Amino acid sequence: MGKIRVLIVDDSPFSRKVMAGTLDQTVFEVCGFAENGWEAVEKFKLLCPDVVTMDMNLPDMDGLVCSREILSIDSNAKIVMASAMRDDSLISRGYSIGVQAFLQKPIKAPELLDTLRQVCLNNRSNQEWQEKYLQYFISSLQQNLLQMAGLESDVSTSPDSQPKFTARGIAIILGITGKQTGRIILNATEQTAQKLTQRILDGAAVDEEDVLNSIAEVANIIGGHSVSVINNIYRGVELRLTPPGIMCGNSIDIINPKLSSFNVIAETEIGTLNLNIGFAGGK
Amino acid sequence: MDVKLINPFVDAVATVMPQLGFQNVSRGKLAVKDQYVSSQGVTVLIGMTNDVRGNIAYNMSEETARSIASTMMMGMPVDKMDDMAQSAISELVNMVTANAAINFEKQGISVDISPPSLAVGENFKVKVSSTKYLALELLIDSNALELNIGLGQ
Repeated sequence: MGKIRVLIVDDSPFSRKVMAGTLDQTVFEVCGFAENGWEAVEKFKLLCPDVVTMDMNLPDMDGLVCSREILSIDSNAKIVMASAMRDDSLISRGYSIGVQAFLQKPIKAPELLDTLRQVCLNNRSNQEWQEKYLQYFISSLQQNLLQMAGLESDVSTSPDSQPKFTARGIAIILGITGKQTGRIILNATEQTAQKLTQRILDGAAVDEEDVLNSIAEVANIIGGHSVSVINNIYRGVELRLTPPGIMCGNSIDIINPKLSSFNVIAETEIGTLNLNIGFAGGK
Repeated sequence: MDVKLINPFVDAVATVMPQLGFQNVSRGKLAVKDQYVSSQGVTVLIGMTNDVRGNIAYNMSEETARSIASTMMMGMPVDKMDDMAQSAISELVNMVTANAAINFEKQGISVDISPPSLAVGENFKVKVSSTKYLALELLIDSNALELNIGLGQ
């Protein structure tokens, strides 16, 4: 993999030198410098950097205005604000424009490297990471179906080119937070979900509420196991799951415009279970 | 669920909506509920982890979603819930929730948010929490937006 190219936007020669020094001999390479906002916009167009560090106070415009200019050229541009000020209103305005991270000067070297790395994980290496993660979700799905319900499953996997997943019956949604964000959907028809619940509860009579609760818990366990394994293998990703959200309906389009996802279909003797795993970026 | 947990959202809506071109934000009823949220047509689910955990469902009619998306796109007409409109509504939910997360941080409560999942369909229901949740009605210009907040500490 090639180096990650950084454009440094800062009017202070001192700050430019410090940052360039920090990035020297790392996975990053400084592809250019800009001393003011318009130069930053021009260099961005010319150099297409992977990530931009942006000073807040530039001679001709503020760093947020400059960020907005850059994001209007490329809405996927990765921008890290580096500023002596770091107040809440600045951060909130920055995030609403699309700035990815904020650093306060003086910036410590590990902090700069970690932040740029995090921001760039949502960039080109993303697809690669997602494909590595996928195997852990698949094995967790199969293992847990077997352990909890004694179900063997045949699994097929495909990248989902649509941002839309159409759920039929019951869909459990678990959000993923951490260094990579995303979401997991476990979908089954009501009949399949009911049969699965009965198997887990050894054939006991179950009502609708039992079914929803058990499917939510199945999703939680499958997701939790996958994420734990990933966290152990990839130090520092620190993935966390939100509690399950439950959706029920005949046909629900679940849309995540900024995610790229994989669809895992598990065929079992009681019907089909669908696990859709999406991570932000990668497009 | 602690009623105090809704304040960061109320403040977030009041901060973010004017930035997106909305004039008036007012609060309607607040109710404690424990049933499913019936989708009004467009429901966006977003989760939180860390010190506060749970889900928030932003619920609105398709008409409201189109109207909000139109304002966000500088008044461009939005006749159907197309990709642009879906993206605008997802972004709105992301911004409001991210702003609420910053408000939590101010109280020393650390939270992370998941990407939003926008759900569209007829007659579907959503459960945000295994226990009680708070339903907060908001009127944004003439658009009714309902926040269903199921969070725990």
